[in-house]
Amino acid sequence: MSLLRLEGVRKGFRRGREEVVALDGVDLCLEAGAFTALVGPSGSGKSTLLHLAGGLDKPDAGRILLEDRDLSTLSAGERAQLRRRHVGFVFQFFHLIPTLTVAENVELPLILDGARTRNGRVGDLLERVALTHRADHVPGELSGGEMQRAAIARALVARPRLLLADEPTGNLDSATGAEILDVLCEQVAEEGTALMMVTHDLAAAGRAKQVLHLRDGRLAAA
Amino acid sequence: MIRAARLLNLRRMKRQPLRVVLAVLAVASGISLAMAIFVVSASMTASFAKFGRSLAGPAPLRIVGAASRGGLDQRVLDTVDRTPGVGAAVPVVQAVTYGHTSPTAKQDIGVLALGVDCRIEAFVGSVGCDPQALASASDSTPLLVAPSLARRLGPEGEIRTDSGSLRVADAPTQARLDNIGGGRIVVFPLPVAQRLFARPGALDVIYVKPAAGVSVDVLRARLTKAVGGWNGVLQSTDAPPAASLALGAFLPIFGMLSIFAIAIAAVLVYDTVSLSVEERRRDLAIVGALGGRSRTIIGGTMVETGTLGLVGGILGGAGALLLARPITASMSSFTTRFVGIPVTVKTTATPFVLGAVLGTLLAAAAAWWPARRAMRMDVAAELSNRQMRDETAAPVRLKRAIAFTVLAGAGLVVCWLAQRGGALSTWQPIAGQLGVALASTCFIVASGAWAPIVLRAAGRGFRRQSAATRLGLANLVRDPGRTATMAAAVGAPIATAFIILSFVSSIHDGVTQGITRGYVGQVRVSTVDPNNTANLDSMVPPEVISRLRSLPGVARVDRTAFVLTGHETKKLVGVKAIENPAPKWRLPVLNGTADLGRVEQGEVMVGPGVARRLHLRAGSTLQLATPRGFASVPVQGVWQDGDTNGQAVTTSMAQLESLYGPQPSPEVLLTPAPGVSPGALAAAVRRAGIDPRLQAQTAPELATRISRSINAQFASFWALQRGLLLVAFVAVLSTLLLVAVQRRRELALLAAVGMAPGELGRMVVAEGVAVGVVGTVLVFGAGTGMYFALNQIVPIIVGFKDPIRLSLPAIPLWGFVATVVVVAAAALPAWRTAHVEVVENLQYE
Repeated sequence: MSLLRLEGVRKGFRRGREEVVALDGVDLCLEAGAFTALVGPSGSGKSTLLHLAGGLDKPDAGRILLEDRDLSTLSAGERAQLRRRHVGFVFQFFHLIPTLTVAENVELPLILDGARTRNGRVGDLLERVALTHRADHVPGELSGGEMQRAAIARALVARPRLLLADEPTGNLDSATGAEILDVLCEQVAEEGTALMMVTHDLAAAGRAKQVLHLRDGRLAAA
Repeated sequence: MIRAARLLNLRRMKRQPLRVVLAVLAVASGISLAMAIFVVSASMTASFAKFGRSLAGPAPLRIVGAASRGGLDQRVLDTVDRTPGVGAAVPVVQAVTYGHTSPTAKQDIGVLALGVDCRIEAFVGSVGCDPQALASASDSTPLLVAPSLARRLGPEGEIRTDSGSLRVADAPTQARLDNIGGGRIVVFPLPVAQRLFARPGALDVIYVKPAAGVSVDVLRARLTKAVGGWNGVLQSTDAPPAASLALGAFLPIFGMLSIFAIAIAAVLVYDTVSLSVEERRRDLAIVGALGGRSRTIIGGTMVETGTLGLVGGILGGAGALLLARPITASMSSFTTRFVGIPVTVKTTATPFVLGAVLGTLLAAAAAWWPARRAMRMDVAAELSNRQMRDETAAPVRLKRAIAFTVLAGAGLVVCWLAQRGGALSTWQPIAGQLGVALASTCFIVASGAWAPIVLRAAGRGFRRQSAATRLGLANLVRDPGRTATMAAAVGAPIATAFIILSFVSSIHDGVTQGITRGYVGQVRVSTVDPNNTANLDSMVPPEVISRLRSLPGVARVDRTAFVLTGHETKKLVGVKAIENPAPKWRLPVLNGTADLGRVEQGEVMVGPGVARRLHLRAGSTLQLATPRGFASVPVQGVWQDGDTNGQAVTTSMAQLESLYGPQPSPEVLLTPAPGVSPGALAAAVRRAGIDPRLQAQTAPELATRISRSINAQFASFWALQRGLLLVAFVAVLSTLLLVAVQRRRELALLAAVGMAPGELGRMVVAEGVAVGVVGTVLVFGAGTGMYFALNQIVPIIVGFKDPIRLSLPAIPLWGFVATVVVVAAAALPAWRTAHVEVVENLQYE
């Protein structure tokens, strides 16, 4: 059974008076424990695909099935619950909440799911991403690599089945980027999480089991 | 959700004290106005109840008559005595008058003059009262005086009666009287009081104590049936019916100001929350991406604003107690003159509790739309910087500006409909209040929404200006939400000042013009100042009237009379008459006709308030309560008479005296003989030395006196205005500081591309100036609209239809002050901008 399946997905946006087609009939299948890289030029629809896969957006046509649940049929609340419990996001610009500490940022998905007290998972993850000593710092006090490691810890805290990473190394130097990729790959290998990563970095894409090329909204396997 | 709200919202508040202060002050200002009404009202009720208890002693009930002065026929006492269950009934004359430290002293001291007979021993115990001695007592000195009043009046002290001044210095004192009415009590034998205060065969009150074992409620029901519906059976702690006139006009006007202030507070809170949500779009999008539920986002925003509202509401409660002091003092001056009861501020926890509740609700309501907007945010677009808001912002703002202007216009139309035809229908006052609320809120929001549009248009004329000015204007145009917030904040205090000044000027002119028109060519003679003194027992004595008639230069002396009828708070009617009414006394007719000849023949003219309440029109029959029962009088028409808050009935002197008995005159009007000017006649009256307290005024002099009196009455409103302005200015200052802090990233960008520090600073100052100017300009429209809305419904509330007076100079004046404050507020941000840390802020996320 595939974890994530996209069937004939189409998505367009209106820019001024012009209709821009971001995705045009995309079919995709993602298995649990698979690392898939999504590459393509700017504006090819990579981030849009990621947002649709994570239930942040809805397709204009086609179906997106996460564990056989059609995301188009779910309410906004149900999609939010799905994201909290089954999907982890890692963004290029980290997107940490500046007023929360690192530990609180990592814990945020659990807090949003109603957790009243901090459990050991947060500490374990901070240790795993080597940020224990930064737990009580706010994002403004961290380096880019530390911020991305915190973002990864946050994405993993709810033990998601699907990890969606949007250019996670795009803002980092190559050494730090490699560290980040190590953490992500470990997660795929150890926990069987499916990882779909958008990247421009061919070296990063090279570590994936499957590389998909997106051009003008259409998908082609490498 | 609580943990999420604590982390995501409450922590944010901790890190943004300026925003917290801004929102808290905004809520506190609105709440303090609304709660001040509550505090004043509660203080009056408590003071009346305390006074009632101190005067009535053991009597839980009191019977009052059809009129406030001597409205109870003495024969009612027999009826009361015969009513089963009455343990004791004590007849009392309760006259309200002035005392003075000497015959020529200017300061009036409110005095309550009581007339009692030996039945008082049933309440106070045996004091050796001799009925024969009381019956034969002289009119020349009181029976007893409260020691504190005796001390205050001093060795030359005297009080006014309807028969002239009376020395009280030689009267014996009784310490127990200091516990009643603040110790301003003089006691006369009942027959003496009836003579001195023109109540032949009449009483003011009968205090009743039930017999042992008789329930107060049962006895009250029996007495109500026995004494007839024209008399009233009240609890001893109930406020004197006439006292309600003090609050009758005050409460609605103050209520309107409160609606206005609360609307401003709501807009400021709304703007603050909008700004906060706008700044946090990215954070909220992250929360959404991580699976935050709608209720987490909306709930968190509501918790945040609710907390601000709670704190603001509690502060508002404290502010209300402060504001209530000058207002209560003003009310006390009125109640002392009208019913002889001073009012003091009563401090309880209630305004704090109510303020907290109201503040929380207000803030939550104001936050609802921004919170919903946050909830509906396009998370994916926000996180991927796929934002097209810039392209769409201008048309949306234009639509918003037009929509709110149309809504404000609709509010004006509702106000206009509400006052049509003198607002004689019962739905019209309610519609008027709603119309004012709608118009006030929408005009404020609309003025903010128009600001960026006006600036965009103005910007085209500034193309030759410096880069700093052009960039400042461009910033304001490109960020319409922020500009609207600042413009509304600047406009609010200017509009407040303009509206209050216009309002005061309008009422002032309306009253003085009306009075001047009626008195033109005549001289008013009285022993008391004009304005709300007709119920005082300091009438012009008959002997004085006789001497005035024989004064050289006097062609005619016309008496006036005023009787306040009714014993239920909202059902009072002021019945008034003047001898030989001239056509100049005619007021604008709302229904029917106003033929003064027909008034002399027995028809009456009624004010709009009484017409609305009793559904009276031309041809209707009005049931007037009199000491001998209800009298039916035909209504000739309804006219715009604001006396007694529009609850006035004008009849002929003959009819008034046939209904209420011979009446003393609060004032008389002298018509000069041919060749004698009113000014010369007034001077002659003053020179004649008929009575040291006699005042004589021509129409212009009277206008000046009333003007002074009205100004004094508006002191409380001025206090409010100052408080509101201060709070609003603080809010503006905080907003500007806040906005400048928020912009540090784009400022760093400008510095990075080569803008000099001085230019950066000037850009911020230019924005401040532009916001001040545009806020001021827009108030010409919004403020005028709000004033029109208020002006339309003021006649419904106070009865008087006042002319439109736009205090337009107030707008540039307060606009200048606001702009100076805005520029001053921009100074610190400008300095910070000039010293912006480029690298650090460009990396800021």
